[in-house]
This record gives sequence, C-alpha cells and structure tokens, in this order.
Amino acid sequence: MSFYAICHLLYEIVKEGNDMARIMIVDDAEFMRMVIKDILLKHGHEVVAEAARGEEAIFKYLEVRPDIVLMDIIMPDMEGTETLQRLLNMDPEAKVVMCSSLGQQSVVTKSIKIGAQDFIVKPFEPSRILDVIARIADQNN
Amino acid sequence: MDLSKYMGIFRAEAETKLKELSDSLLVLEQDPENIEHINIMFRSAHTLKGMAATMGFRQIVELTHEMESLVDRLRTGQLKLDEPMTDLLFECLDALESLVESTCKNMACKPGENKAEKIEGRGNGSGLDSGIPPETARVLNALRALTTKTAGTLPEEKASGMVHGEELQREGSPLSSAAEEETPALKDSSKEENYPVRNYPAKKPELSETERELIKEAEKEGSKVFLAHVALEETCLMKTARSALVIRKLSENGNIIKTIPALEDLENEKFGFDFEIIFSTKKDEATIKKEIGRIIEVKNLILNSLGSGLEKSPEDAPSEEVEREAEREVEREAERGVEREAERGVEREAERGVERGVERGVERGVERGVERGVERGVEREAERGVEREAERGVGKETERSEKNVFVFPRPGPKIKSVQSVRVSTDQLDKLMNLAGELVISRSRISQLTRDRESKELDAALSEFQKLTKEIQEEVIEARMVPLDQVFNMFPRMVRDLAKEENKKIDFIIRGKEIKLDRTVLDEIGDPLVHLLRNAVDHGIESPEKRLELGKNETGTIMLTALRQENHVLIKIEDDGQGMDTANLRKAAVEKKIISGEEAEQFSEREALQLIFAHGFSTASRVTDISGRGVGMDVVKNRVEHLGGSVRIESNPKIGSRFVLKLPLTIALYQAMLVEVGEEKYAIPFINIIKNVEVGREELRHIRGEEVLISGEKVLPLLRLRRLFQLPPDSEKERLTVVIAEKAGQPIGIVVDKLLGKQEVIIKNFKSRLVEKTGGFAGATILGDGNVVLILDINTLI
Repeated sequence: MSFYAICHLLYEIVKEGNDMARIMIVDDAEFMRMVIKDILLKHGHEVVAEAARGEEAIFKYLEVRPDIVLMDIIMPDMEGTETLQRLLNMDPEAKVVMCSSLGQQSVVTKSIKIGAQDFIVKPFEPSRILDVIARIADQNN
Repeated sequence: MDLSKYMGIFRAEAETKLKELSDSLLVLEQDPENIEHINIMFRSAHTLKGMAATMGFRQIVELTHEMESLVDRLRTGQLKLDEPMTDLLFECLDALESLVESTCKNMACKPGENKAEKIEGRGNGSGLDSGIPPETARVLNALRALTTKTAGTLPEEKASGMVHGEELQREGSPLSSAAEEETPALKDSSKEENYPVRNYPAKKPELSETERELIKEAEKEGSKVFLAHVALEETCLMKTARSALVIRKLSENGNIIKTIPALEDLENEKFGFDFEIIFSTKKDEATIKKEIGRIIEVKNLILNSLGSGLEKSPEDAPSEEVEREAEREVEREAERGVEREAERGVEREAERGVERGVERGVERGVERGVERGVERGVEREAERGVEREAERGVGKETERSEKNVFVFPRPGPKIKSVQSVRVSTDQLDKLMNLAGELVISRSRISQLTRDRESKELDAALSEFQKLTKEIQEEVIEARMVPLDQVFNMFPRMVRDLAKEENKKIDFIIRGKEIKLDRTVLDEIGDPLVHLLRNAVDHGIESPEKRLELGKNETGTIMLTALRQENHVLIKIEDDGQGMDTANLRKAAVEKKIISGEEAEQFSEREALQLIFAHGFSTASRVTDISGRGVGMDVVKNRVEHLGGSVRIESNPKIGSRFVLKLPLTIALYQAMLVEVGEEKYAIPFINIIKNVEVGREELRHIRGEEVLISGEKVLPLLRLRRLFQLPPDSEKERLTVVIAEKAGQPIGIVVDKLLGKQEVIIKNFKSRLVEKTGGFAGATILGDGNVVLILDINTLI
C-alpha cells in the first residue's frame, strides 16, 4: 500500500467518523420522533436519546451529552425556546436545531436569536435534516 | 421512505390530539378565556399539523393550520372566543376526525400505492387526499373567512394573517389543484407583494451620519467594512428566521452597521428573497464566506468591501472589485458542488486530518482504525462498520479532552425494554377461563387428598392455592379498563344534544378512573348513552321553564361512578322535571302494557318500573347517537344480563336518578352456595342484601301472597322448594331466608341451608334449551367436581 493510499484511508476514516453525529430528538409526538429517528439511523447517525418534554430533554442532555439536539418548537410543559435557553445556560456549546411547522416563524426567529444553530420546517426532506446536521458537524471540526 | 409503516402511530397519536382538542374546547365553551386550554389547543393543533405535513396529508394540514392561526389569535387576545366560533371549531374537529379516519383507511386499502409513497415525493402524495369531502371544504372556507375578517380589522396582522389566507386559496391549495407540485401548500411568506429584487451589482447604499460614523470608527480599530448581498433560495419557507440566522452569524464575527431593508422589515418579512447587510469585521473575507456558506437556504453571498473609498468618493463603485466578485459569483454558481467538495475535502484533510488528529492526541484511535482497516483489506475501506469502530475510539478521546468542564461517561447502547404489548381480548378470555379451571382443579386435588394428612402435601397445596389466586387476580386485572374509555365520548354528546334542543346543561363526570372488566364496559356504553339522552331530552327543562320554576337556568347532569366492594355503581342524575307516575300509568294503559285496574294498584315504585316494560319507550325516540334505538327495556336487560341491576329514583320537579349496579367482572362471581332439597345452587353476591332466619310466625299473607315483614318493609317471599316443585320442608320451625335485590326491590328467598361464600367461575349454557329456561344465569363447577346452577334472581319469577 502506498503512502498516499494510507493517507487517503486515514482521511476517509476521520471524515466518516466526523460526519456521524450523536443526536437527541425532542418532540412531544412519538410519531415525529419515529420518523426523524428512522431518517437519521438510515444515514448512519446515532440517536442517543429521545425526549417528549422540555424538562426531560434537559435531564437527558446532561446525561448523554449529544452532539446535536433536534428540538420541537412547541411542547406541552415548556416551550422549545425556554428549553433552548436553559440548555444553553447549562452548556453554551450546545448545538440545537429547532423543528417547527409553518406558521410559527416568530418563535423560530426568537430561538435563532437565543442561540439555536439552525432550524428546519416540517414537512422536511430527509436530505434537509441531514444537510443541517452535516453543516453543524462540519463547523464543530 | 415507506410511510405506510407510520400509519398506525400517526392515527393513534392524531386521535389523541383530537381528543385533547375536543376536551379543551369543551372547557373553553364554558370558560372562553381559560388560557391554559387555549394553549393546549394551540399546541395540539400545531403538533397535528406537523405530523400530517410529514405524512403528506394536505387537507389535514390546511385545516389544522387554519385552526392554529385562529387559536393563536385567541391566545394573543386579538380575538375572543364566541359561540359561532366554538361551533365552527367543533365542526372543524369533526371534519378532522373523519379526515384522519378516511385517510388512514385509504392508505390501508392501497398498500401498493403507498409502498412507493415517499417523504421525498410528498408533493405528489396529495393523491391520497383526492376527493375532498364537502364538509371539509365548507369548514375550511369558514375558518379562512374568519381569519381574513379579523386580519382585515387589524392592520398590523396583514402581513402574516390575511396574506396567509389568500395565499392558501390562491396557490397550491389541494382543494383546488391537488396536483401542483413543488409548491408548498402553505407559506409564511408572501410572494405577491413583489418586493424589489436587490440584484447584484447593488446600488450604493445611502448612509446616515451615524452609520458613516460607525464605519469610520470600525476602520480606525482596524476592521474592514463589507456590504454583504445575501440571496435566499426561493423555496425558503421562513425568510425572517433565515435572515436572523445570517445576521446572528455576522454579528458573531463582527458588528452589524445597517441592514437593507431595515431590520424591522426583515423581522416582518417585508422583503423578497434577498437583502443586504453592512457590517464591520476583523476577520478576512474567506472566513466570513465560509461561515455564511454553512447556512442552508442561502443561495448566494456577495461581499463588497466598503472601505475608506466610501468616504472619498461615495458614487464611485469599486469596479475592479465588482468584476472580480462577479466572476467569483459565476464560478460559484457553476461549480458549487465542486467547491463544496473541495472545501470539505482539501480543507478538512489539511486542517483536520493532520492538525487535529495529531494535536489532540487521537493518533491511538486512528492508528487502531488504520490497523484494523488494513487488516481487513483496503478494498473494504468503504465499509462503514470498520470505520465506525475506529471512530468510536477516536470520538471518546476527543470529546473528553474537548469538554473538560463536564465529563460524562457515555453510556453504552441501551436496548429499550418493551413496556406493553397488545393482547387480543379473545386471548384474555381464554386465559381467564384457564385460570378458572386451575382454581377448580386445585380444590379437587385438595378434596381428593383430604384424608392423607400429609404436612408436605398441605404445604404444597397451600402454595398452589396462593399461586392460582395470584394468577386469577392478575388476569382479572389485565381485563380491567378505566371507565373513561366509555365516558370520554359523553361530554361532546351531551353538549351537542343540549345545543340541538336549546337547553343549557352542566355536565359533570366523576370517577372516570374507576376500572371495570372490559366485557362489562362493552355492554354498558349503549345503555348509558340512552340514559344520558333521556336526561337531556326528558329530564332537563328549557331555560325559560327552569327560570319560571325558580330553578337555575342551567340544568345539571351528573354521571358518577363509585366502587363499592366488588361492584361498581354508576349514577346518572339530573335536576330536571323528574317523572310523573300518573303520566307513566296513563301511558302504560294506553299502550296496553297494563290494565287500568293494575295501574291503580301499582305503587309509586312499581309505576316507575313501567318505563322498563317492553314497548314502553316510545319508538319515535330512536336515538341517533347509538344508532341502534336502545329502549329502556334494553337498558334493563343488558344490565341485568351482566348480573347487575338498575334502580330508579324520581321526584317530580326535582329530578331523576338512575343507579346502575354492575359487577367488576363477569368472569368471576362471589356467590352464596345454598342447599335446596338435595341440590346445591349459587346465588350471586351482587344480588344479596343479607341473610336472615325467621320464625314462621313472622310471615304474613297479603292478597294470597306470602310476605315477610322485615323492619318497616314488606318483602314478597319466594320458596325455592315450591319453585322447584319439591315437597315442603315441614319439619323446620325457622326459615332460612336470603334477602336479595330484584329490580331494585328486595325479595326474600327461602332456602334449606346456607353453605357459605364461594368464588365461582361462570360457565354459560351452550344449550339453547337451558338458556331459554329463565331463572338461571349459568352453571359453575365446584371443587368436588359437582356442577351447580347459578340462580338469576331477576328472571327467577
């Protein structure tokens, strides 16, 4: 094996490894969690935690420390924006992507100002979710 | 992605959301400003919309979207919930309910089509929604009219509100053109307002004095000033949020001096698909481009240096710079993919592969990965498994060193245990039966070995008994379902009925958490519907009449469940007009149920019982709720068939109360074993009030019938010996009497001997002949193997 081939392999390994993210899904609808999880798993990401509530999300975040959090913007106990704020207070490095349906742009904008990394709008193309994750992972490196 | 596999969970969750919506709306109808429930409605509608959008069910999306907009207005106080609005929302819920049902059914019917259904292709997926029910279209239009109207009166809402409604109707609405592809059904933005496209090269921005000052100051500090032209992709759905992300990124790297259009316009989405930002930064152009390039939906970014030249000759465009920029821009347009690849590839290889790998001490992991990769052959280098294995080693190392503040051990993969499984009710029935057989078998063994006098055997048998009892209890518990499953449909039903008849009714439910055997629950739904309907129809008076009578304008119907030992009481009470026994008698005579003579002799209690007579319930009152036209006689039969009873109390002008007494389970009875002649019989405990011994002298004869005076009550007496045509037991001086409840009235049953309490498992008769013979509810097998008949008090005579 040539030196170049080893370098290339090394590069591939690092690249592949970094593209895979450990993700936590926060959504009060089990249905949404299931759909998102399937998309992520299919594309080699790891879903390390799921939460249906804001409080639960914070608790699990501290426990598993995911690379990226996909968070529903509207949840029963705590609004997504509040959960986001609390997460960032605890870990300013938290990478949170807000998920919203149409019609709640003001809340999405608010969460961007608070410090969400990005947002996606339901219904989303699987490629969109993956793209957002890839870009965040990229920026981390 | 195959969407059909999500159907089940979609439907279950959609139904839960609809239930939440309906419950909250019922509360809001009484208390329109209850913010808690407005919030619940808002959230549920939003969640449902997101789910439906993911599935590509556009009609559901549109309805929930309009509902969410309306509720959002309630939430922010722009609208107040009034009666027509409540009705409309209820209709909307009905429409949604039938849409969910029909959509799910359609999907289930066309598995072939749906295999191909993909999230990616959901633009075409609207075929599922074809055939719009007129009801849906009507509700949708009404909701839109409401939103548009209110938006019109509130100018500040124009941008997001009215435009919204119009947008929906104008374009892409599946109700009008389902086949339109690529056009999002809903948009937050408004295209038709035709904002100027700020095409490059942009005009020199006009700057205020303050802005010029800011630029000068920034330059003094050694920053560069840029004019950034940002173009968003035209499919961008939330332009304001996207622009906010761009602005935030730039301010993380410098200072924003001005935005064009103004920040306020950006916030209100008053712009097309592009905007400009003047900002100062100490970073170089490439870094800024990279940062912004990471944001999705940013189609294009052009950076123009606004340096000191601005001060000298503001009109003079830096043409060289512009040309170069334009060139770059064209390049990027053409070679976007290549560039990104290069960025990712080359940069990362250089920056990360070497720098990071070496610096942060991941060599070990990488080496291990390489070694492993080499070992397993280079040709398989693409295989993810190998690489991931290597990565895990790397990942752990890097994360620990990166985040030295919080070091949390990363837990290994956990397999989530299954919390519940679905079991068919048939299977539960079978299990119940088997558990019952086990009990019988145990008593047999215990009886057969009674003479052995072995301590070990006794110990083993008592263990056996404990286990069988536990099995039985568990199985019974597994069959229990909370009453809420039946009760939860009543609030809406009562509300609709009341509305239909212009009555005002408070409907109160208590004890819905109480559990009952599933079989019992299945049977009582219709009877309860009928009783509640009667309470609304015949019980509660019109508001005018109530006021006239000095009652509260609003009537009350109360549905209460209570657990009492091993049965459940369900009470339906109303504070309406009650039942007039004179009228009942008259009606019964007219319908030839009783003769005029009988009518006169009937006591008040007996007269009330008339409503249960077959043919008494007026046929014109067939309920359209249950759709089956259950009469009061059916109510009574159903309940009694379950081994329960119905009691009526009614006071003219004060109200009526129906009390259903139901066994917790019908699979297992507590029964009193009695002896009559040489045979044993079982009397269900649920019917028994008490047992007494009476002397012959306490018996009286009234109108030729033997009666027992117990306290102040006169009980009819039934001698089982006589009923079974056995010779009277003349020797006994004292009679053993079981006082049981028959149709809410006590009767005395004379038996030879009480044998004690026993748990019996009811076996229904398989033979038609025995079934038709009244008086027996079934049979049971005792521990000694003997078959014993269970008396059915209600049909005994």
